[in-house]
Amino acid sequence: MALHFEGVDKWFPSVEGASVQVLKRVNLAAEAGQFWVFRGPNGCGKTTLMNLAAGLDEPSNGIVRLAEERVDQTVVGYLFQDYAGSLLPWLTLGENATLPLKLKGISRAMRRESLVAISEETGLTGLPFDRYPFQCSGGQQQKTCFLRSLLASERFLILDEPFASLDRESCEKVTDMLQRIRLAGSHLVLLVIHDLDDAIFLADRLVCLDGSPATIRDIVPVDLPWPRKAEVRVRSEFLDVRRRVLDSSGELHR
Amino acid sequence: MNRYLHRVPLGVPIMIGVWFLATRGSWSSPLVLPRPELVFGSLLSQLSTQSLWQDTLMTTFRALSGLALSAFLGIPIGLVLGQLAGLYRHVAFVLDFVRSIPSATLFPLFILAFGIGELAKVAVVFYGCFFIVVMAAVYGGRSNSDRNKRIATLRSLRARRSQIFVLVVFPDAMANILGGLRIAASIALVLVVVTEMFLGANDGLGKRIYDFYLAYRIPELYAALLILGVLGYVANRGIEQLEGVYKLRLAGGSR
Repeated sequence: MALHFEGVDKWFPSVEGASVQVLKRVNLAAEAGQFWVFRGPNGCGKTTLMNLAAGLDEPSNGIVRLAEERVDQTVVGYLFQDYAGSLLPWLTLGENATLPLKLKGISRAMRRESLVAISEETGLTGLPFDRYPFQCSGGQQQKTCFLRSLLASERFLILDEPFASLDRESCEKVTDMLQRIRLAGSHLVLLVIHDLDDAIFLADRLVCLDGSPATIRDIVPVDLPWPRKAEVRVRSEFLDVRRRVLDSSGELHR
Repeated sequence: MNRYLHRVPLGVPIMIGVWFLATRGSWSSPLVLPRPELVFGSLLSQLSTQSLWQDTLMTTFRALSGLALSAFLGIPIGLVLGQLAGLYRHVAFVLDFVRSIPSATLFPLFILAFGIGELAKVAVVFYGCFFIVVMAAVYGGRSNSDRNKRIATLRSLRARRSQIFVLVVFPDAMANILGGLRIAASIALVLVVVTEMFLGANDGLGKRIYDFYLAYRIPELYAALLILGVLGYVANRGIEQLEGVYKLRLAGGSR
């Protein structure tokens, strides 16, 4: 599962009837098994970029391609930034998490089995799977969405701010699970992470977006070995990446 | 004490109490408001006759067939119109024009078309309910930002259009549709009673009420009205049960 963006522009119609350009000349070439982390200021077009990669929206110019497949026909495990809005309120957390399996016509008993298996594998146990989303906390909802994206695809994940509502412990569990996925080399994973340390920690490539319309300012390779332990955060390679990112975004010169 | 207050519907004894007191003085005419004990006495004696059950059954049957038919046709048509804004623009004028004609004014037409049998009565009910259900379903079928987020989830999972409809659009539209059905159920009862009064019926609560009116048997008339009220209450409760099925009350209507 390799993902290519070639000269991608994206305009949206504005209220006044004119159009607003959100993305400008975006080029990417992500290989299967890699983790690509995207970072940039609010409203710069990260979520738009994720929606293009998920095939939910089409580029105004340029090409978005997933290996040989059509990008809008490949199932993607997408953890939406607005995770709460992505849950169906008339389904329980368990039914929401296993929705991808239901769509494939997998039996209720098998879905239940997969749900138990994936929550044990991730360590995200104790979620109230028989309750409805409005009865649950934001963190519980976001963890449900994470499980849903894992059950959706074994090749392609898009996680838009996956840590936003999670407590420390859950963040560690999700990070550990992602590291296992990285080691298996099975998934191409796109992530949006604001915290710079967390972003570097989970990145093979760190994409810095900025400007309006947004362009790619820098794609920083992070060549630290996997699995990564907490101590890499003080290694000199890690700090070099940190300096390069802060330098290119101008955050170092304020 | 507080918990009891919530459980017992205080409205019923208060209503009967006020009614009881209002009929004590000489200032209220028994022709307009008979004493409750007479009404309940008549209710009891009517309940023991077979004809009351027959009338209730026929009224229920006519109202339900008209309502069911309008739901059966109105919900899909409304949902389609709600989803296709372009199509809706074309038919909006016709819809608004036709539904502005009161169904009572169409009695002569319906009699000419369907005779004075069951069909004409059901047709009147259908006409009155159909457009209410259609309009409710149009609003239910329209897209909104909450629904689009849910649809995006299904699209990322490459769900088929039919799956998106069954899993998102239909349950999402249910809140609106059930609201429309509830209003339509009340209208159905109103219309069926009116047709039974004036459209040449041999049975039904409307016929019963009209006969009592002609004979100035006011307590009996009130007893029949009570039955109608109970029918309306049962209909509303039934539709509320459907809301429960779709978790609409729990979810606060929509998210």
